[in-house]
Amino acid sequence: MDHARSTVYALSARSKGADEPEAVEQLLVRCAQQDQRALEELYSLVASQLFGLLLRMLRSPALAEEALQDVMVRVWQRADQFVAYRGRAMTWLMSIARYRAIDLLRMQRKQVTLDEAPDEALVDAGAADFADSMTSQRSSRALDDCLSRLTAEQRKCIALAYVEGYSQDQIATAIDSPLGTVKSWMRRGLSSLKRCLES
Amino acid sequence: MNYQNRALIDELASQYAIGTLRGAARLRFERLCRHDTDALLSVQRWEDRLIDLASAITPVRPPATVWRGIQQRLDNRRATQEHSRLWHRQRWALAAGVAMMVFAVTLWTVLSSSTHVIATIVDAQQAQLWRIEAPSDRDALHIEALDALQADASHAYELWALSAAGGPPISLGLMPQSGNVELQLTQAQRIALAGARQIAISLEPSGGSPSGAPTGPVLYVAAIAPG
Repeated sequence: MDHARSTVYALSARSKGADEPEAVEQLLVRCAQQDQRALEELYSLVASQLFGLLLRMLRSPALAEEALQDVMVRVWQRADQFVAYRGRAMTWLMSIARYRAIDLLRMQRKQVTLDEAPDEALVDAGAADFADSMTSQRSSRALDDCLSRLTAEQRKCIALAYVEGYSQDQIATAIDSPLGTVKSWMRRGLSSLKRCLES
Repeated sequence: MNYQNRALIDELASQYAIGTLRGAARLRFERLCRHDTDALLSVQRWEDRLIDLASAITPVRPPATVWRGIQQRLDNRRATQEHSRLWHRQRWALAAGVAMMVFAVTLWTVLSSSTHVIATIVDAQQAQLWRIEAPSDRDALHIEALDALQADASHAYELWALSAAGGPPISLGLMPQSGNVELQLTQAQRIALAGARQIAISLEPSGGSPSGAPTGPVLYVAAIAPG
């Protein structure tokens, strides 16, 4: 857990400055006390990170804007549940955003399926290239080291799922591989990542 | 699905956190996490492991209309809650006449009692898990485990005072998993309780947090009745 906390801090320190985790946590404490000014300050601090994530996963500015509203309203409602999660502020916020995006993707996918659109319609042609390039430059060293020990296929599957919000079907389409093979790469990749990060 | 298999649960937790667990399986796993704290812990550990992948995503400033939309939604919620409170007050006024006799009995009970309920811990379904009472000087806590509580022999439930000023949580002791317990508070714990508006319960190893700070997930947070 200590290691995990330090990686969260490292993430925030890299992207926004060393004081951000403490600032985010203090603002969440104030949100739990129904201080709406704190929510506005929190929004100005984290909205760009959350919106970048939501835009990447949802691939629609309108949908990402709606999702960001959902996320901030949910943060306001649940801030009291955060209060004692010291050290996990950004993980908590990003997880709320990612899970909201996954919910919306599921609903969007249902609508598309009803219209019988091909699965490829939901796959971004540049996503696989992005997944190739995303490691080693900006993620933490511990995660980088462990990602570098995975096979290229495992790495790509993990990045497409986490960053793009792809289902395993969509990953199979994006990298032109059988679904069963993708599932196996994902399972083994995550298992190796866990072992490596805990060693 | 055999949820007894811990390795399988951890695999499902990884798929949940990375987002590939979808549809009915995702909803089933969410339901499991509501009462299986090991599953919830697994998800949180996977969230921590994977969070740095998000740092590769370029931040994008959202348009100003988003914040205005958030404000609008919060204002609408407040108006709805205000309306609901007004309705409750009217219902209370109607009920007041009927309640006079009951009130007299209750008042006598409260005046004759040396302790007051300062918080009741409920789960997401509003089932009551613990009742926490304290004497007026709040130098001890009397905690009763209620019927809806599911005992977890391999973990402890630890009670924390959450500082209103934003300081670290202060442990007040371990919650009973059945029956009653009386926690005598130290001076530091009494000060922490007096300075808190909320208490929290975290899941910890047997015997309580080894570090003096919450190490497991915070399962419940409740407001403390003013002293």
